[in-house]
Amino acid sequence: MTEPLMEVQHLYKAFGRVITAEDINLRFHRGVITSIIGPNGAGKSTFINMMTGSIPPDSGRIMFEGKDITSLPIHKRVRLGVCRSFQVVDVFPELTVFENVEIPILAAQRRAWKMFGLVTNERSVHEEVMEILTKVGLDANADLLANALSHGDQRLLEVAIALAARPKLLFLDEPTAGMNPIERKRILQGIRELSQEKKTTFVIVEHDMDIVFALSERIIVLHHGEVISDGTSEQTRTNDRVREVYLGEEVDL
Amino acid sequence: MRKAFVITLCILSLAGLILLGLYGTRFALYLATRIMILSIFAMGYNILFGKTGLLSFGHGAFYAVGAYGMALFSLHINPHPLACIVAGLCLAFIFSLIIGFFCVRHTEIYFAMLTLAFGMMVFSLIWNLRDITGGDDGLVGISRAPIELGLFSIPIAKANQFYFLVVFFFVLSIAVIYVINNSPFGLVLSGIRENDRRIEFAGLPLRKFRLAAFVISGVFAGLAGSLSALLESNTDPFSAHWSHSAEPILVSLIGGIQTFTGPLIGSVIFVWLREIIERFTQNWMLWFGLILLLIIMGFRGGVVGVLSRIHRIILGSDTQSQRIA
Repeated sequence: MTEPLMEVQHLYKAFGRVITAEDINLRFHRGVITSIIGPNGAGKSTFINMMTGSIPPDSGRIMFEGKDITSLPIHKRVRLGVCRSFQVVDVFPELTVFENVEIPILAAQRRAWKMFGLVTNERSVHEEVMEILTKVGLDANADLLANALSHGDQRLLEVAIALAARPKLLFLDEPTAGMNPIERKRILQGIRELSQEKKTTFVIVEHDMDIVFALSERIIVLHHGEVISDGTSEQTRTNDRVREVYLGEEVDL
Repeated sequence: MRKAFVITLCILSLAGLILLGLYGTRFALYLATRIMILSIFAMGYNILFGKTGLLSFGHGAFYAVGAYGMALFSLHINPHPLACIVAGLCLAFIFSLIIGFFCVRHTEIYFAMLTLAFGMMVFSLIWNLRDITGGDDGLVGISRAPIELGLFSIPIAKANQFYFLVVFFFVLSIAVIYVINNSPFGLVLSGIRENDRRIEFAGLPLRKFRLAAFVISGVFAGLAGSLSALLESNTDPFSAHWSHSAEPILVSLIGGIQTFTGPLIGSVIFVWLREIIERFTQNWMLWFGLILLLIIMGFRGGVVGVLSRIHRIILGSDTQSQRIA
């Protein structure tokens, strides 16, 4: 087995008496599309927040490419290659679609500190922006303000901004929420293609079980901060504890 | 077409400034000089306020630090005007770096209150360190020595001579601020205003960018302050007072905080209106407040914002014009 991209060791987190992560041990390998599912309050969001640096764990270690990143700030993790998208659209509303994607690319190309020189002259940045916009299908809307986009397009932009940071490991928090079936298909196709390129490894939190089972090569089930199942979709379907947890919600597994 | 229009406007304005310098009365020159100094102050300030979205109530302090730094250097070390201005800028840089370091850890009202507190600390330092700063009298007798440039020297003692020195710094400041606003760095600052959390997830150190914006605006405040010390030949402790820190905010609001030329137009309106009102009444603040109320309530997006919107409706042109204005 090769070295994992990210390794989580004995992660523990509690908010008061509510335990949202209890001794989580996970490894994420390159190129494996992984989904994290679980009922509301299972600790999925907290998990992403701890991985990407918004919330520090109470104890445990997070290793990325063999480096301990447990106490690194958000922007340094992004630079190393750990990024995320948000469940609620969280773009730069009064900037154009183009500029939204341009900011993380300026950062990735180390041009963000350049003060004396017009941003319109940054040719290599512009090429990369258009590449990403074409990939997610927003190239025709490049000059629109982000808040003028439809909700589905804003979700696409959300993912595009995350991709623009050139992540090696990308956490997508409900990427298809509020999308119509066409947009959904496009984003899923995009994720598959990007995953096959092996530059970006995806970890997806999703509620829609159809998507989870269609897309993922590995499914992790969280419940009350504990990993209760970790395996292929077939293994997840037949896991007794998972059935037990989801029984009350009548989800057809 | 648009570009040609903007370039023509720039050339005409510059020609106007030069003609005013050659043929204007002393009083007109004095007003124009004050307008330009306030413009430098406000346009620099707007990098922090309009661009980055941080409201500071303490930039009067950097204006005063620039003025006192300039004056102290002139009185004790060397009266060369350029050297004095550089000294003022350096001191403003150091102060804004130190004060900014603490302020940018917070945002919104906490940031605003911290800048207010630091600003008042600088004010009381100037007020109380009588031996160095002259206390409530300020520093007096700052000479406008000629600018020695090796082979020749440029006199700036007369009002019209000094006017051209200010025009030089005014044009230079506009050019530098324009480039900064439209640079990659400027785009990041806009991003901070729009969504600071996302800036971190773009892989950028948020606080360092905030601090940079703070220091840049502080240095422009320092430049404005040192030019004002040269203009008045003395320094005023009240330039560090929070009421003076409010001036660039008002000026930016009048002109339009989301526009490049807003603070400039706002400065013209501010100085000119005040001058007119003061001729008729002692209570200029009351009347000025009323007019300000009308402008801010009636012109959403400031005077420049409204004008460029009208301009766009007439021409039916694209969204670009809003950004260039």
